[in-house]
This record gives sequence, C-alpha cells and structure tokens, in this order.
Amino acid sequence: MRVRYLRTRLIVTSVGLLALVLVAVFLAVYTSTNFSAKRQAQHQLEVGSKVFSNLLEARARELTNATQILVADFGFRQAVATGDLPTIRSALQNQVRRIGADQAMFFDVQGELQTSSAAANVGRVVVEALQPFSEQAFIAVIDHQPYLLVEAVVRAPVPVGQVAMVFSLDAALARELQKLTGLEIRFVSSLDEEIMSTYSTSPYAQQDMNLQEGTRKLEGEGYLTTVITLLDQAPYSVSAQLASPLSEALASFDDLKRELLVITLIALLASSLLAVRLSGSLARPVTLLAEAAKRIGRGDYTGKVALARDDELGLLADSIDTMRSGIAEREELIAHNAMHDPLTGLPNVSAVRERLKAALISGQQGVLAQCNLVSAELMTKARGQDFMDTLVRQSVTHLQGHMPADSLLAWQPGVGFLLLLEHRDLDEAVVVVDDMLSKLGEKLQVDDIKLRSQWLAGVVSWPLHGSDAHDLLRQASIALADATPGPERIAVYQAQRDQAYQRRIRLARDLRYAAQYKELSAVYQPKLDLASGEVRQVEALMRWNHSELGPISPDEFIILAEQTGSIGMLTQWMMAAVASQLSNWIDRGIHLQVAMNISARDLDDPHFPLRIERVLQAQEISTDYLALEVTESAVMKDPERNLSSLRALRDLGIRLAVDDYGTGYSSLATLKSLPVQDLKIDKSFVLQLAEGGDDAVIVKSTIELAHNMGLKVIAEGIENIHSLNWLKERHCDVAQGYFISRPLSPVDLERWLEDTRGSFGVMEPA
Amino acid sequence: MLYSPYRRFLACTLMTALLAATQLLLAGRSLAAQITLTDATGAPLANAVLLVDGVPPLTADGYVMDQIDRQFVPHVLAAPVGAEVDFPNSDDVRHHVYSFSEAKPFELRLFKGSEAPPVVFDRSGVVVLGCNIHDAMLGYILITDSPRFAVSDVQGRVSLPDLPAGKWPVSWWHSSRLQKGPESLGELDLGQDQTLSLPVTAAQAKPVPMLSPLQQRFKSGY
Repeated sequence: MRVRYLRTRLIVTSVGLLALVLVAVFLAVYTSTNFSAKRQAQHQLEVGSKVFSNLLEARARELTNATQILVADFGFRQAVATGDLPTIRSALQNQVRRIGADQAMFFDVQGELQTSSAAANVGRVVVEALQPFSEQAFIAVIDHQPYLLVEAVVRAPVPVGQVAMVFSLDAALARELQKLTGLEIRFVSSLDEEIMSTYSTSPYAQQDMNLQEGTRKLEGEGYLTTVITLLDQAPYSVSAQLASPLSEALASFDDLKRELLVITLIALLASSLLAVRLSGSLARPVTLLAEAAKRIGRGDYTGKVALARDDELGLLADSIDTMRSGIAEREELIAHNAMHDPLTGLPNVSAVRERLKAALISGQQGVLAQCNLVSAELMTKARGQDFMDTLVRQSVTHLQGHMPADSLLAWQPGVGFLLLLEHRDLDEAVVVVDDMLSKLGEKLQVDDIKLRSQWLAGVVSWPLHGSDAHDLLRQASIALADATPGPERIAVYQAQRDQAYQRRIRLARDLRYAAQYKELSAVYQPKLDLASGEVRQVEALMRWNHSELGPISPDEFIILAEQTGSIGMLTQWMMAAVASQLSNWIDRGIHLQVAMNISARDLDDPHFPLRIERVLQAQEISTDYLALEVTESAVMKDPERNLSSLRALRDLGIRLAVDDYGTGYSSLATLKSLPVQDLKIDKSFVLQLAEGGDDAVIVKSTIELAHNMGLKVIAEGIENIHSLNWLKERHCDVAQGYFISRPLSPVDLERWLEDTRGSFGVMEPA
Repeated sequence: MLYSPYRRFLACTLMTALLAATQLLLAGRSLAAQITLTDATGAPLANAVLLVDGVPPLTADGYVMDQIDRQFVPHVLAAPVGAEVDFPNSDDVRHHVYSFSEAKPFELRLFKGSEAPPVVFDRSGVVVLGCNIHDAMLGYILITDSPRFAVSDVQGRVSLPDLPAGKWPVSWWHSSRLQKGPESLGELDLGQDQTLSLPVTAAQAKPVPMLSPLQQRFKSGY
C-alpha cells in the first residue's frame, strides 16, 4: 500500500487552498484593474470628448468675437457699405493674420461670395455644406475640406454683407486638441461614404477606424474610441474620432499589479513555510506514535510513549503507553507460563530448551541431566495423581537451597526433572546429579505417608554428545532409560546405544507388520540322531527379511519381540507356519518332528496350550510331530507359573526341551521338577568343545547328569567333525549345527534329506 | 448749466402735440378720411409710408430724427427732397449717427444734445441710419419727390389732411423694401375711410434680427 503521508496532505491542502485564494485575489484584482483601466480610459474618453467639444466651442467663440470686432469696425462697415472690395479683402487678410484663421470670406446680403482673404481663390471657393456646431459656430465643408466656420453679419446698420472666418479641421488643430484632451484625434470628412480627407494626431489614424465607437486594436495597442459627428448633411459628413489609448490607463496599474504579484508570492511562500511547520507539528507526533506502535508490534516494550502535549495526540500517546505496559505485563505472564510448569513453579522443558540453545550458541560446554522417579507409573496407579503431584512438590521444596546457584532446575510433566549445568564437565556434573538423587531419595512426608522414593538420572554432555538442544534432550531420556536403581542410577549417554536404540525402535515398530508384509519365513535345521545317524527332527527357525534393512538377525528381533510384547504374535505366526509345513510333509510321507521355540511370555499366557492344540487339530496333525523349546532363563523366571503351562503342553503329548542350557544358572533340582524330555546345551559351550578345557568338562558332566535324570541331550553349534565325534563318543543324543547343516528352506531341506540319507550314520574321524 | 433730458423730452412732446393739434385743426377744415394700413395678414402695419402724387405739396419744415433711449425716433421719417433734418440727441450718451446710403452718406461724429448741425437731404431715396456706437440703433429716412406723404402709426393709421378730393396716384414704402423705392398702388381716392393691405409679411414687419445670408442658404440644414 502506498503511504499517503498526512504531513504531505496537510501541506498540499493548506498551501493549495491558499494558492487558490491568492490566485483568485490576483485574478480579481487583475480583472478589476483592467476593468478599471478600461473605465478610466472610457472616462478619459468621455471627458476628453466634452473637453474636445468645449474647446472647439471656445475656439469658435473666440473666433466669433474676433469676427464680430471686425464687422463692427466702422471703417470696415463703410467699406462694405460702399462696396469697396479691395479694402474689404485687405481687411479680411489683416484679420486672418491677426486671429490665425485659415481664411476669411465676405458674402453680400444674398449670400454670394464677394471676396475672400485668398483673393486668388475667388470664384472657386464653394461652401458645400454647413451645419451649426454651437450658437455662433458652424462646421462647413468647403472645397472638400472640413472647417470650423464663424460668421458675422455686417450691419450698416441693416445687413449689408457677411463675413465668415474658417478654421481648418486639420492635423495642427488635432494636435492642439490632443494636448488638451489627452486623446488621439482624427478628423474625417467624407462624401457619399467616401473619405475625402483625414487629419489626425498619430500615424494610426491613416487606418480606417470605421467610424464606430468601442474598443479596437490598432498596431498592437488597444484604444477606446468614440465618434463625434460634427456635420451630417447628405452627402457630406464630418466627424471627429477620438481615441483613448488603453495602454496609458493600464500602465498606471502596472505598479499595482507588480506589487500585488510580489505580495502574492511572498504570502504564498510565507504560508507554505507556515503550513510545513504546522503540518510538521501535527505529523511529527503522529509519526512518533506510529513508530512507537511499530516498536510495540515488534515486541519492544521498553521506552515510555509520551508526547509533551495536552491535546488529543497527547491523550493518544498516554493510551498507547497504557497499552504498551498492559501488553508487556500480559506477554511476560504468557512467557512465564510458556516457560514454567504450573505444578512446581519451576521452569519447564521449553525454558530448558531455550537456555540450552543459548548455551550451545555461546559455545560453552555443559551437562544436561534428566531425572525421574522409579516406577512412577505404578505409584500413580496406586496412589493417584494428586499424591504424585504432592510428592513432586515436596521433592522440589526439599531440593531448595541444595542446587548450585548457576544451575537450571526444571520440571516437565511426563519427563521429570531436567537439570542444566553450564560450564561443567561430565565428571563434575555427575557428582552434582548424584547429590541431587541422594537428596531426592531422602525420606519425605507426603500427605500422611512417609516414604523414600528412588530416582534415576540420564546424563548427556555437550558438545561431547551433541550440539542440538532437541537431540540433547532426547539423548538424556535415552540415557535415563539405561539407568537402573543401585550403583547404575546415573547413566551417561552413549552414542552407539543411541543408534541401536533407533534401530530397535524401528524394528519394534516394523515387527508388528512383518507378518502382514510377508517378510517372515520359516527355515528348518536338521537335528542328527547320533546313535542312529538319522535325521528325525528339525528345528524351525524364524527369518525376518526386512524390506529395507534386509535380513534381521533372530538374536536381535526375537529379544526385541520379547521386550515389546510382540513375541506372542510371532509365536502364533510360527505355529501356523510349522503346522502348515507339517501337514504338507505328512501328506507327502515325510515324517519329521519339528521343534519350535517359545518364549516366557507364551508360557505366561494360560490359553497358550489350548491354542497349540487347536492349531494341530485343525491340520489333523498328531502332537508327536511337535516339540517346543523353552530357554532356561524363561523357565527360571517364574518356574512355578510356567510349570502349569509346561505340564499342560506335556499332557498334550508335545515333546519339551530346555533351550540354551547353561546360561541360566538353574539348578538341576529345579530342572528335575520340569516336565521336559530334552536338555539342549547352549552352543557357547559346544563351539570350542574339541579344543578341550572347561567347556568340555561341563558338557561331559551335563550329558552324564542329564542321562541320569532320564533326559536326552541335544548339542547345538556343531561346526566341525571333531565336535561331532567328541559328542558321539560321549553319547550325546542329538547334534545340531552348521557342520551338519545350516537352517534350510523346506525345499532345500527335502533335497538335503535325499542327498545325505545315511551319510551321517557312520562317522569316523577323517 | 444744469441739463435735464426730461425737460427736453417734455418740450418735444409738447411740440409734437401742438403739431398734431394743428393737423387736427386742418383736418377739421376739410374732411379727413381714416386710412389704415395692414400687412399681408391684416395686422396693422406701423412705420409704413403712404405717398400721394399729383397734388399740391404741403409746405412744412422742422424735420427731426431724434434719438431717445438709444433708438431713432421716429423709426421711419419721410421728408421731401432738400429737407433739412435735425438730429438732436435726447439721450445722455453720445451718438455717432451715420449713413452709408447712396441717397445721402453722412456722418455725425460723437455728438450730444443739439451739437450736430442739421443734414440736408438733396436726393430722393432711402437713407438708412445707424449709430456707430450702438449697433442696435436703426432708423430710416425716406427722401421723396412726392408732394404728400405720411407714416403710419402703431395702429397702422395714416393721416393725410386736406387732400384734394378725387383719385390720385398713390404709392407705398416700407423698410422691407430697403433696396427699392416706393411702389405704386395705382390711383386711389383717399377721401374716404379705407384699409390698405400691403404685401409685407409679418416677419418683415417686425424689426427682428434676420438670419445671416449664409444661414439662409443652408436653412434646409436646420
């Protein structure tokens, strides 16, 4: 969005308005002065016209008087009365010179010209038109020229003749009148609309003025003109054209206009400066407030917002400041809540994460520890959440004052305590954490109960273990999982453990879908009956070919399945697979007993024997074909409980074996009480059997003891002929191992059985 | 010496009255008919001269052209050829009476009272009188060869006493006929009361200023 600045707008508006007013004033004055000039010119013209007429009349009067004097002269009258023309003419000439007339004429009583001052012209002088101009004066056209004419009758005492004096309406007169009137003057006489002569004061007058009144331009100069008709006797006419130049009138206003222009410009400049200043005083605080609001928007709540004004803007500033402090308080509360645990009032994981990030950025070393209560879940179930909350609160109170001042202790529900120890190496930190666990382990009074609680801790150090806050938190929790009550109550994170952990998590997850994705398969390893040299038994082993990770070792995924509770599902799948295979073989006349591994968890399930039975029945397979192998440790975990399951299975007619014997520290007495028929010696004892040593002694005595208890002995892990012969010599019943055959698919197994029939019957050392 | 124009005026009036009384007496002797002159419109025409020829003249003298109140009195004076006319000045200002008429050009320079000598008019004709000082003064003297003549008064009446009975050649003159002599009316019997209408316009009858000749020429322009 384009910002339309308030300040600019204010300036533009106010200055624009003023400019408009000034322009209007200027135009008004300009127009009115022009008008006034015109009016002045008009006035001058009117006055000039009157003056013109008056002057002409005065001139006429003057001339008339002079003429009267002439005709009153006794001598002249005598000359006239006696018809003395030469005398008359000389008198006329004398008078013409005296009064400056152009010509004097003498007429007899009939009006016929008798003589004139210009004697030579006698007879040619023709008065063509005559019209009164004033009481005593006339305008006459004589010989096509305009004249002012005054006359006087010569009386002796009756009229005996007449004298007329004429004054030419010529340029000289015009100039004289111009001096007095200030107007340009032009005399025009015409005959039948044709101009006969013109006399004027200025060159322009040679142009046709059209004999009209009004304004016109002549040679670039404006004039107001008026026409005074002096004579109008068709076909003759004489007129005076008067022109008042506008330029003179206008010139008188030029100074005024110039001054007005200067004043206008100064006013505009001054007002512009004022507007800039005024708008600045309005816009500047607004800008300040906008900046303050922007600052608040960015989360900067420092700096009081205030304007030293008592108007609305000042009020607005106060309001913004109130808003600023309000937002700051609320945000502080929100931030506190975001970074603190409401139960304990301690910082939460977010706070730790933030602090950790800052510490990581600073490049300092340090240690993060996660502490949690042992068997917190059980306690919660037993005592309730309120109790746990109280316990945690009590523990926090108990810890108070015992933690290093520079440490950060946090509580996060579901995670436990988080302790951030900056600037410390691992050894130092472990001591601090151990002290803390000891403190937490002290007896506490929670509600009405006095108790000791056990706490574990996982410790991770940076930059040793990682440089990412998220990773460090995760690693601490992995380490915590490794901690066990007792001496190992503090576990330090190990990188390899983490990778295995990741793999385990993935496998644990994928294992549940392995059957569904048909990644599971069963292979069979032959078991050689050493006495007969025949293979009557095979052990069914599970294979998991992970779609991405490839074949997964059974050691890895079986343990994982046991830990994660998926083992039951695997056993079921294996059971089904084995049953199906057995059914297949029996149908085809292949009679093999298949041994299958079961876990302790299977034994925990009271319905397990029933399920086995149903599966076999469904395929119409005799229980003789199935053998189950249970590890020693599984049996020993809860011998009494497992016993019922084992008995139930045995009652079904299923052969039972104790697997991995020798790893579980079981007593032979216990073993004796179990309804098992076979004892399977752990391969760790068999592998180096031929080399002699302790293993050979153990195996030998185990075989003897087992035989004494009526148990058959199975040895697995046979990898060479020496081991096989050694076991045969010691009367071990069954042997199993890579030397005989690795686990094979059913097809391969069938071929192997074909190929090797009888080959293991006579075994002699090579 | 104490000069009183008033007394002079009284004397003149008395004299005139005496003269009139004498005429009345004479008229009483023979029958004096009442003759009235009118202008063309029928209005009484004053200062017109009626002249009768063929009758014996009446001897008379004492022709006077007085100047009273800057006017010639009478306005028109008729006198026989050879008559001696006195120009007394009854005003208390000087007059400069002159005439440029062919019949008798003369000049009486700046005179007062009876200083001026009488002027003898020895030719017949019209003599126009003016005063060089007072332009408005205008008077006429008709010098005639006719034995009997009279000037009409304000009422247009003409008195010709003791006229022999019978028809006589009669003519008339008025200042409107300035450049001309008397005009004949034919032979008339003036022994009876009668009114004579003369071809004089009312305008001509009045002694008002005329338009100038030039103005008259361009009268159409008014």
